[in-house]
Amino acid sequence: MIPLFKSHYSLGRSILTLEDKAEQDDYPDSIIQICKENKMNELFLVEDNMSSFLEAYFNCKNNNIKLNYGLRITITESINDKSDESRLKNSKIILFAKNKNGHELLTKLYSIGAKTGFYYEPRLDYEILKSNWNENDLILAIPFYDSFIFNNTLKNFICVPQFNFTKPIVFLEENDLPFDLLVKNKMMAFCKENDLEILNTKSIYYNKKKDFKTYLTFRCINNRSTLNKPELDHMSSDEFCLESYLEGKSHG
Amino acid sequence: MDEHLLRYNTNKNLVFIDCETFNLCLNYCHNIPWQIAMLKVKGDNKIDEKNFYLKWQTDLKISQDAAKITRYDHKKVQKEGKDPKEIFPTIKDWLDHADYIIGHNVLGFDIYLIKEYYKKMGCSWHHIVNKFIDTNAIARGIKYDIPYNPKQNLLEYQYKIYHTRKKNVRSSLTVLGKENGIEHDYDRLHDAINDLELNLKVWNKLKWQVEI
Repeated sequence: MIPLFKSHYSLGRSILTLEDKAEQDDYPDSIIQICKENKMNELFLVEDNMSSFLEAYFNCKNNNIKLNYGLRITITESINDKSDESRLKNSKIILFAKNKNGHELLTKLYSIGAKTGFYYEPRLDYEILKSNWNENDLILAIPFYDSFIFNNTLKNFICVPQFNFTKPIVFLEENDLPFDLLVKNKMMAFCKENDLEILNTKSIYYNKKKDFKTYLTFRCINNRSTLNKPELDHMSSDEFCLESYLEGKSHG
Repeated sequence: MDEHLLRYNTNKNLVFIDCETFNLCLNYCHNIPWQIAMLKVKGDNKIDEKNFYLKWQTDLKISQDAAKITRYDHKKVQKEGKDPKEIFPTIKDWLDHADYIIGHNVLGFDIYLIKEYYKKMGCSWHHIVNKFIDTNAIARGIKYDIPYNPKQNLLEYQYKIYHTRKKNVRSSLTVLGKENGIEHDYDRLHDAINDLELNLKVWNKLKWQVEI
């Protein structure tokens, strides 16, 4: 299973920082510290923007941790379509940089998404991705949550994937949510049909299960809601943490 | 020809469930159910009911809003409340043996409280997921004119409707009850058993409009 960390640079999505700190003291927990404590010499960092790259790069380098930087971004049918209906065609992909060129390409693509493609959020479309694609520099992954399969299955979306320029890797997850199995079965069927590689992953936004309440509080603050009325759909699972990843790993 | 449909099938064991809680959080780190009510139904009719008050060892306090809306009576819960461990076997038995578990907004709320309860008692809950029928989702599907196709997975359909938001579409139990001309004591809503009785009456109308 691959742990997919996210830092606080992905605004409102994680309570983990990228500080270079050695010991676990008071909050906030740092991804670098977690990697060191758990003797992880490779970090998979999946962010919603490129802001964390420098801090992640230098702090990983200082601690001999191999950094795999991924950008989780919305893809849609056409970035020129900025209608409400176009939002039903949105889904998430993850682009991993394989090398320095890959990082430059990620920066370029994010810039296009945030400037030309912006509609409520940075967006790319398949045409732009295809025209900039380089198999040597990038890896395309389909995340478990908010992918085209997830959105088409649970949200009445009409996303049409066009991955004819590469073979994406498909990420599966299990976080104790009632719809996980439903989505997992659909993703596995898609992989079988298209002969795609599957990886078991775990999204990590906080360290321990007990940190869920802190994370939820943080999400509520960002959502301008309260713990008594979070107004965050399905926000019930305390499994998006390192503790759950380690449990899953030990159970094989 | 349509004998398989729930509207005709009087052998299916339906369990209606409603949880009254301290607030609207979906995790036991900040919320717990203080009342769980269930109706056992065959065909159109209630054949049994359970109404449990739960007395947890907790420092959590009910929110003022929830106390007011759900008519929380601390003395009653302290007096009649039972240890959650003591009543769980009955709840589990009812849910595990139900063909369908029905509730209003059960997919957006109660399912998470029930799931947490199973987990707290050291039990797996995954086997009950596909049994859930959310009358809120079913009613909205009808109002949105997005019919359920029996070839489709029912849970998938309900989630699709759950995530589809349209303005000015009201689907609370009270609204559905009154729209369908259902006679009921609407002043006693948010008493779990009273809610479930209305929920059953609403379901008995909805089931004629959906191919389940």
